[in-house]
Amino acid sequence: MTLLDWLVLLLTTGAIIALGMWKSRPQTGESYLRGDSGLKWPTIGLSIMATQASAVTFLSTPGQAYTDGLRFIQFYFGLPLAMIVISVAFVPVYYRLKVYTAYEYLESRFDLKTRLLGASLFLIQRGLAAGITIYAPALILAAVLDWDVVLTSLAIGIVTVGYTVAGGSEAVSATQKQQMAVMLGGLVLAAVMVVWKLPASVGLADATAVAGVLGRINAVDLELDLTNRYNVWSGLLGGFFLALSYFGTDQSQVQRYLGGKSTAESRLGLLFNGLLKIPMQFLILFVGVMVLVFHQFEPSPVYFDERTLGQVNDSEAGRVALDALEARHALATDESRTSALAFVAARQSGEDTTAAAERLKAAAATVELIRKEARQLVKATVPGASGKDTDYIFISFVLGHMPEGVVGLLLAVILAAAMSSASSELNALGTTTVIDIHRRAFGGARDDRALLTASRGYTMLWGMLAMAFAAFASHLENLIQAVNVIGSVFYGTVLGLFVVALFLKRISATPVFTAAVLSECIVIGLWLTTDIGFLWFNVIGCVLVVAVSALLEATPLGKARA
Amino acid sequence: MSAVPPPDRSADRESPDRTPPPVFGSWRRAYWILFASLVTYIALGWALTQAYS
Repeated sequence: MTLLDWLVLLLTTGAIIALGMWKSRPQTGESYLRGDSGLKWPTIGLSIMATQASAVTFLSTPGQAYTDGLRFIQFYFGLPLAMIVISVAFVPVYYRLKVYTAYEYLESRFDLKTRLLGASLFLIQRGLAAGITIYAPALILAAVLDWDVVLTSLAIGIVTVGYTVAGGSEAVSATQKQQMAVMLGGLVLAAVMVVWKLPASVGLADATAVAGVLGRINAVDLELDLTNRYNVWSGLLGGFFLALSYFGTDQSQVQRYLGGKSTAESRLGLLFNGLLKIPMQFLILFVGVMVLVFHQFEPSPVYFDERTLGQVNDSEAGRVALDALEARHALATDESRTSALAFVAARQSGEDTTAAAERLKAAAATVELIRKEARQLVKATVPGASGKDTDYIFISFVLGHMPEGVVGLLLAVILAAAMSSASSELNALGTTTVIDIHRRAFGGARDDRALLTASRGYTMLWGMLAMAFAAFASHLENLIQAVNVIGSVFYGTVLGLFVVALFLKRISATPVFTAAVLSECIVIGLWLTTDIGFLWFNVIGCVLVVAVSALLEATPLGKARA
Repeated sequence: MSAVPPPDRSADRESPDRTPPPVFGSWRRAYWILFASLVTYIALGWALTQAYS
C-alpha cells in the first residue's frame, strides 16, 4: 500500500460516510426506523443491491470463478422471478399495514406468538451473521496487508456502527447509494484493468477462448442433474426460494424498500435489483476468470494466502516439501505460459487449435495438481488452516498487479461492501428488537422520543455484539461456514410462515405456529444428522411448514380457532 | 335506464396499489420485461457457453 492508495482509500470511504450522514438527520423514531418514507426507486434498488453485496462477494466470488468458472451465475436465475412475486404479493401487504418490520404482518395475520417466533428466528441468524460480515473481510485484508485482524475488525465495526446508530435507516440507504456506485465503478475498472494487464498480443476474445479451453466458460448448463449444484434448473428453483426468503422476509432487506415513497417506488427498486443483479454477478465472475487467464501468462503463487503459506516454513519438513513444490510450480507455469501463447497464436493465424488447446489444458492441469498438493501441505502442516485459498485469489491479484491508486480504490470497494451489508444488518436487528420485542412484547418505547432512544440503544447493542464477535474470533474459518449454514437452517421456516400467511388464508395461527416449531426442529435434526446440502434446508423448511400446518388445520388445533 | 358497465377490477387483481410504474406503463408490462430479460440472460449465457467450450 502506497501513500496514494491510502489517500484514495480514506478519502473515498470518508466521503461516502460524510455524504450519507449529511443527507440524513433523523429527528423522530419514525424517521430513524423507516427513513423519511420518501426514497425513490434508484436509491431503493441500489440499497437492496448494496445490502446483499458483502465484502465476501467481492473477495470470494472471483476466486470461485478462478477455480470453478462462470457456472455460479445460474444460482441467481431465480432472483428476478422472486422480485416479481415480492412486488405483487409482499410489498402491497407491508404498505397497507404500514409496518416497521416484516414480522408485524405475522401478528396481523396470525397472532403475537407467531410474530415473536418469526422475529426471534431472524434475530438469531442475522445476529450471528452480523459479526461474520465484519470479521470475514477483516481476516482476509489483515492477512494480505499484514494488518492486525482485531484492529481491522474494530476499525470496520466502529465506523459502521457509528453512522448506523447516528443516522438510522435513512443514513444506511443514503450511504449505500454511494457505496454501491463505488462498488459498480470499481468492478468495471477491475474488469478493464485485468484485460489490459494481459499480454499485448492477447485480446478479449483470445482471453475468453483460453478460458473456454480451461473449462471456465460454463455459464449455462441446461442438463437436469440433481447431483449438480449449479445448473439452470437448480438455479431457477433453489435460487427462487432463497431469494424469496431473503428479499421477502429478511428484515435487513425488507427495511430497505419499506422506506420508499410509495409501493410503486419500492416495486421499481426491487425490479431494478432483478434486472441488474445477474449482469453484476456475471461481471464479478468474469473478472475471476480473467485473473485465471492472466495467470496463464504471468506466474501465480502456488498458494494465494501467503501469510499462511509462510507458516509452512516453520518446520524443516514443511520447508523442504514447499521448496520442492515451488520448483515444480515454476516449471509448470513456464509451460503454461508457452502453451497459452501458442494457442493464441494458432487461433489468430486461423490454424487448427486442437493440438494447442490440448497442450494448454495439460499444462493447466499440471499447475492445478501442484496447487492441490500445496493446499494439502498447508492443511497438514499449519494448525487450524483450512487449506482453502480461493478467498485470497482476487485480493492477491489486486495487490500484486494493479497500479497505484487503483489498489486503494478497490480496497475502498471491499470496505464499502463490508460496511453496506453490516449497516443494513445492524439497522434491521435494532429495529426488530425495539419494535417486535421491546415495544410489542414488553410495552416499552411508547412515545416517539423513547422510540428513538431505544432504537439507537439496541442498534448500538447489536453493533457491540457484532464487534465483540469479530474481535475475539480467531482461526474460525469453520465457524464462518457454520454461520452460513445456520442462515439456511432458519430461512426455510420463516419463508414457510409468510407463504402460509399470504397464500393459504384458511390456515390459522396455532397450526402454523406448531408447524413452524416442528419444522425448525426437523430441519435442525436433519442438519445435525445427515449430509443433505444446506441449500436444500430452505426448500425443506418452507415445504414442511406449509404441509404440516395444512394437516394441523384439519385437527382440533385448527378448529380451536373457530 | 342505461346499463352501467361493471368497474374494472383488473388492477385490484394485480395489486391493491393502482399507481402505475413511471416508466413501463403498467405493472404487468414491467414484470414481463423483467421476465424477458431473464430469458435473454439465460440465452446469452448459453450462447457464450456453446461458443467457447
